[in-house]
Amino acid sequence: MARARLLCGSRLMLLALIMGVLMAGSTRTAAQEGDKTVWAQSGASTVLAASTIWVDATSFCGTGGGTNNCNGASFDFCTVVSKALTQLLSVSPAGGVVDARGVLPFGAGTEPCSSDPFVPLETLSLNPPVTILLPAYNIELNPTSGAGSGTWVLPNNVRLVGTGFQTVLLGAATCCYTAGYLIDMGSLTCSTGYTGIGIEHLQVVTQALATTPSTYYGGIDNECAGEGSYVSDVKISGNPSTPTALGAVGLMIGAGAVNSGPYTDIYVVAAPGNTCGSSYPSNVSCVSVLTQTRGIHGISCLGSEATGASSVSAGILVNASNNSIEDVHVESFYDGVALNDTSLGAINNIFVSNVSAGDTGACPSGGVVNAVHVYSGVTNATITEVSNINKPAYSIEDDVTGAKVENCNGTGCAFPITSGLYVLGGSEGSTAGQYTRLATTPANPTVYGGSSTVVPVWGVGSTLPSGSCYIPGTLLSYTSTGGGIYACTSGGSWAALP
Amino acid sequence: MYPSKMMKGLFPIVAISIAGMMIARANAQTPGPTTGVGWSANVQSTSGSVTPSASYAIVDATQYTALGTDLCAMIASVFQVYNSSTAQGIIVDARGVPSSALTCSNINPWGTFLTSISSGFSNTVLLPAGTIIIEKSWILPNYTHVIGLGPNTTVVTAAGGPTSDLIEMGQPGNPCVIKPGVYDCPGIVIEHLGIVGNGHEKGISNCCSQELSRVNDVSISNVTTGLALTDMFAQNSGPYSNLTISAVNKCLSIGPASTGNVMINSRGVHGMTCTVSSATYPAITIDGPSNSLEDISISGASSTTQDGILIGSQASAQGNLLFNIRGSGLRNIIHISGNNQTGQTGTGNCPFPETGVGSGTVYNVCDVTILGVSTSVSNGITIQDDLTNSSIADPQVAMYIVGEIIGTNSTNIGYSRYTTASAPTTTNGTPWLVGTVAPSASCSSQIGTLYSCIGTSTQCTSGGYTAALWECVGSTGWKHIQ
Repeated sequence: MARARLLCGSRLMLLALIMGVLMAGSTRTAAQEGDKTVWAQSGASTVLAASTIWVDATSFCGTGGGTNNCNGASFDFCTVVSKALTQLLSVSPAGGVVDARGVLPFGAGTEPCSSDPFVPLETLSLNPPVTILLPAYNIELNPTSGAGSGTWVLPNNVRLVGTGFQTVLLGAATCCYTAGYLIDMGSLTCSTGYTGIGIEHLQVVTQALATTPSTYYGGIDNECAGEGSYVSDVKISGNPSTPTALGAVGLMIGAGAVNSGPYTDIYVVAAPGNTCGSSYPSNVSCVSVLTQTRGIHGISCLGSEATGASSVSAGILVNASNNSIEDVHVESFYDGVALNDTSLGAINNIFVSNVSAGDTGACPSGGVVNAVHVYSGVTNATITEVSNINKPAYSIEDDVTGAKVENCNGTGCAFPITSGLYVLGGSEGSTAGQYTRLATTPANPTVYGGSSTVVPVWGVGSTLPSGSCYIPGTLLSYTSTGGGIYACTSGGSWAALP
Repeated sequence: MYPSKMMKGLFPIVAISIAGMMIARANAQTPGPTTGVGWSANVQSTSGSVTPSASYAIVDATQYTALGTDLCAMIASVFQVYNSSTAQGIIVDARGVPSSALTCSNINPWGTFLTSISSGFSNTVLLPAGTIIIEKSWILPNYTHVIGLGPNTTVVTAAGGPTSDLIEMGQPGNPCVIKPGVYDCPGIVIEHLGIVGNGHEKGISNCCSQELSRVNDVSISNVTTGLALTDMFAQNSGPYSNLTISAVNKCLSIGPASTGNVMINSRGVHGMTCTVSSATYPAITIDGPSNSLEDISISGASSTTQDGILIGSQASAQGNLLFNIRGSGLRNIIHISGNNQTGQTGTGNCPFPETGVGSGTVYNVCDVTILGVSTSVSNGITIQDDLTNSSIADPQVAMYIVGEIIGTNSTNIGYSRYTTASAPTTTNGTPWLVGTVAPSASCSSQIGTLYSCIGTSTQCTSGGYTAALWECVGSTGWKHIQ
């Protein structure tokens, strides 16, 4: 009897448990729209279930399309993403993935974003990490609403991940973006510190009224996002079809973005589609660095062929200490890499390597005047492997010591002009104008370009130095038997050291 | 029947029914945007039971078999449906293709994109675990990302004997034609993949893929050359990072460009372990300008003549940076070639890309920066510099930077150079030494070396001379300067 009661009780408990699970399942399902579907175990069987960590935004495209997707539906991209974010945070407050790769119509075109997609995150005091996967499509930010509201301001711990070149965040032609940039990494006020903001595998294209340069704007602005914040594999461009140029810096790294980066694999086309001699807008920089970062590693920077080298402008501006700039290609700017051009104050500890200044060859201003330009106030800068294919042009112009390295005189001269090593140290002694320096380009106005200054080096050779020389102050180790160290004298001749 | 048993019994029936409906639907419909076949699934319903709905976020290749049932045919079948005429881009998930379907027929999955000028269609293909056998080169069009599950997990291998390269980043033809004779297929990415050749020419070659094109986390073996940048139209590509290349004649070649062209620059090779099986060739050749090679480890074929990195033996190679290079089983870890080009318009301070128009001679190499190089070979040469006729025998060298000709263009009496190499067995090493006592030891092999004595005047006195600066003049030892 007791055993029978026990069995009966057990069965009732089991029934209650199953009913409870089923009821709970129904409730949960109601809150699971957009969740990725996965197979789940239920007893001996598998059933369809919802994965809460991964929300597919296509569920929020609405009706009117094809088969349960966004094709043909009338939707706003950012509204869809915002709903998906809300859904994600409701089922996974700790964060997750919003997959918007399927939120696109089929065929060529542009899908609109007329609202702020990040509202669900902006209301939180502490943002969970959220990755938003973007489709291979043109997404036009704020095509119709008022000025300034179209900028995407990325909250803390948000990563935007596209599919590559063909994920295009497109600025609007009729909107002003008073913030000055299409995307902000955190707010501009820096009222709170921002971390963990990433942008990867996409393209940012600004467009504006081609006839109204005042409406032009920049690409990405990081004023406040520090640790763990980065940009990787991103192209930033004006609009080649209009054409319109960037109206502000392609990638701005402001003073509050301390220790952000690295900024890797960047491609900036500041003024696409322009033609020689046109009245195209003046150059804006590809990158401006106003704080110490984890560096810019791998960048191609193309300026305006119309105004490029003919006007004072810089492809990459470094106006802060403690930065590394590596693997750079620049075209159509006066300076390829400019160190401290604004002379905001002294900067130091800068490493620049593998800079290749190119020339489009299509326009007189398609090249670069100075591959690397060291403005006053710079100390302890290491510059290695710099070349400039423009002609006439400089590999290095150093305002601190007054040095210039120009490619050689006359026809048939070598180009590109290259400099293997140029290290500027600190001021030495109490006499003004004395600096430690090591260089490998034995520049002088006779053999190199007429504007070159003398750049003493230390060399080595097995041929007896004799006769005239052009680099006063240069040392040469003559390594043959009976050799020693020779100097190029102020009188322009070789002499063994006493 | 108790309700609990009834519910338990219904679960598999419901599940099988749903799955069966999905499969039936998939089989009954023509793949395409209007059907959603192969698309990923998500929850559509807001109430009641879980209702799967199709999403274009990812398209599963296993549902596409129009061109065949192997991996390559499935991927090609997807591109038959989804291309620039139907969509702007696609994520193809082939990770679910079973191991029994990894032997590809004679088909390039991206072949459909090679018949005309680029349409700008982007595609990401996720490859499965296992060994994928291909009979035809994978020639990748622009905006293609090929992503495996790891170099030891997803392996692409070649069937048959040597024929051609396994993977090519673009080609000198459609869809890369910008204008006649100019090519670019940007945005090609290869990641997390293993490549095993069968004596084929190259593992990965890039003739024509430029901006935002790169290779990352890839192993390559059993080919003649692991990775090759073969023409100027690979400019601005890279970085090529985290590579493991083994059982090859040559791990990496940068240039020379095809006839009439000149290599330009890359974003570098950052992180590579290189093991060669042949002593006939240098492990790495650089015949182009403006490249950075960082964190490179080379194992040679235990040869007494083999070079690890040979710079400028075939073409102009100025402005290269080498950083953290380690070598074993080699004669020279780094070899700076003294080869030159005749018939130039001038004689120049550095190479320049004008050939056959004059009578001048220009050396292929100038401006090489080497920071951090080491060899594990006893009596090996760390750096062989033919420009200055120097053999650096120090097993570790912190800095060796050779610049440009000192003299006039027509009279070469030496090169600018800075080095920390100071081993007695080094030939023509001329470091700048510093110490607290006057130099007194023999310095016959270090003629031209500079020495700064920073001790007291007593300490810096030798042979009756007190000086802060000394020079090595050979067999007579150190000579005071000042």
